[in-house]
Amino acid sequence: MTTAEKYVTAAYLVVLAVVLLYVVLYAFRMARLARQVDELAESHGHRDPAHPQAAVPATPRARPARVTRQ
Amino acid sequence: MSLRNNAGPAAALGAFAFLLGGVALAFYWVPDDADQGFSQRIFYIHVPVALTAYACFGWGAWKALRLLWTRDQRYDLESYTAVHMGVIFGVLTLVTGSIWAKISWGVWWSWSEQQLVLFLVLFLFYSAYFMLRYSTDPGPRRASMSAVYALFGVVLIPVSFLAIRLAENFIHPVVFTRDGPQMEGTMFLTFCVCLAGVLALATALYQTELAGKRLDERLRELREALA
Amino acid sequence: MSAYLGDVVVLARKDLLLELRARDTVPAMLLFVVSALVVFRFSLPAEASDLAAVGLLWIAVVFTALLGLTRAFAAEREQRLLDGLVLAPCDRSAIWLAKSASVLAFLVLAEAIALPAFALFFAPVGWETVAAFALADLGIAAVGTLLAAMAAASRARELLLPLLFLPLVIPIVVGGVGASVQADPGRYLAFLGLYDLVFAILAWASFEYVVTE
Repeated sequence: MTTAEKYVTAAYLVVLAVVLLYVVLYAFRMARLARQVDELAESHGHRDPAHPQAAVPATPRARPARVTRQ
Repeated sequence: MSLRNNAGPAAALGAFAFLLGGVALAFYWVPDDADQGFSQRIFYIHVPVALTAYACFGWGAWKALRLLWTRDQRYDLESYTAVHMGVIFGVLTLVTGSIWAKISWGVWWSWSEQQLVLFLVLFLFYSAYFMLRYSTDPGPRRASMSAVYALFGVVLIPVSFLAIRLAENFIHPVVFTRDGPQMEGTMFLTFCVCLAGVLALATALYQTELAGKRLDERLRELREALA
Repeated sequence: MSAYLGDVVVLARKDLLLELRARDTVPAMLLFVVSALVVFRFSLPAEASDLAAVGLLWIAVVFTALLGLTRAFAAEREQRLLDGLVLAPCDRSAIWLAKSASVLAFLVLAEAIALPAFALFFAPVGWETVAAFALADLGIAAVGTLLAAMAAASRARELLLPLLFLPLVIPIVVGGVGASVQADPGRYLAFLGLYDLVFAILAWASFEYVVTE
């Protein structure tokens, strides 16, 4: 690989890396949202049969809409 | 409505296909540039990313205008998300442009590179937009202030561009141009494919981020209501 | 129309009277700009040309303006006056126009000291520089007043204003320094005029949204 090739590849990889970083940060946000939803459900005595314990970092299945119905 | 719901996945799919094709074309199909050789291939990512950043800022300003016009608060989040995406693509423009400067002139930063300087100014400007949002309490007042600031941004783009052009004369009398020869057909096609890919990527990210921000907001409202 | 102008005059007179009685902004600006010039004198190596000093003069004036702008809405904020002003039966843009006029007056006063001081300490000042400052003041006052109103509504206040203001003032510095150091100041002055026009209209039209909910 010549120097120019390395730099050009690096430029494309930077774009890819930023997109991947975004995905990682988004995964963290999703985990946080799911945790908050669980806390909310728990603090209002909501027991979801699909989630016997909120120990599993919950999936996005636990939607806020579920809680509003209470 | 179904189109609206599927816009995110469709854009993501489009981004994947176009970017994969675009990168393949840029690396294996397009001939070397007569002037700059292999290194010119960075053009196919740098310029589409820069144009997409402008598009995001413009979209944010459009939503800001809609907010001020209709006072409909949902535009606030849309405008914010668009500016957010614009900043991400702006940073990418700075990084890829810096790499291009390194290949072409051996330095990581060149003040004679007008596009880069403009993006630096815009980066500072829109970083202040985030500061403004973070240090103001949520509500209609913050929404309209952010909207006004976002509108100032799109006006600042051409004004700054003009200013940077003028500054060239006394900061850096030497002018580099990248115009060179006219773009060939193959080059133009590759460029278009890459541009479509990056725009689709921005749309997908915008939809995702917007969904995330909305979810965040709804959850916060819910917690306040139930607390 | 005359009612609108009447409102502007009343509001601007209020600011000027307040300043005349309390004297808490203009003396600080004057002292700041002279101190800044003295500091710059010691930050320039002996071989540096007068052109570099001209650039620093512009920086000194921009920061002096910033100093004045952070105080622009201080009285309104401390006395909770802004809500009352917004409720007053006048066009909101009149508030902006009046405040810009008083900021402009303070800035012109500061420059009336800064330019002679610069001529005394560094190099003579040409008519182009004076014209550039006159045009730049309009832009700084127009944009700065709007941003100061935004910053006053935020929690960070004084901290936020420079962050909002400096990126927007870059074109003014380019136009001003260009007009001061280039052989053909015409297009730089024209650029400053264009900046003033564009941003004054924008600020005038959008101020209402900054002060109301």
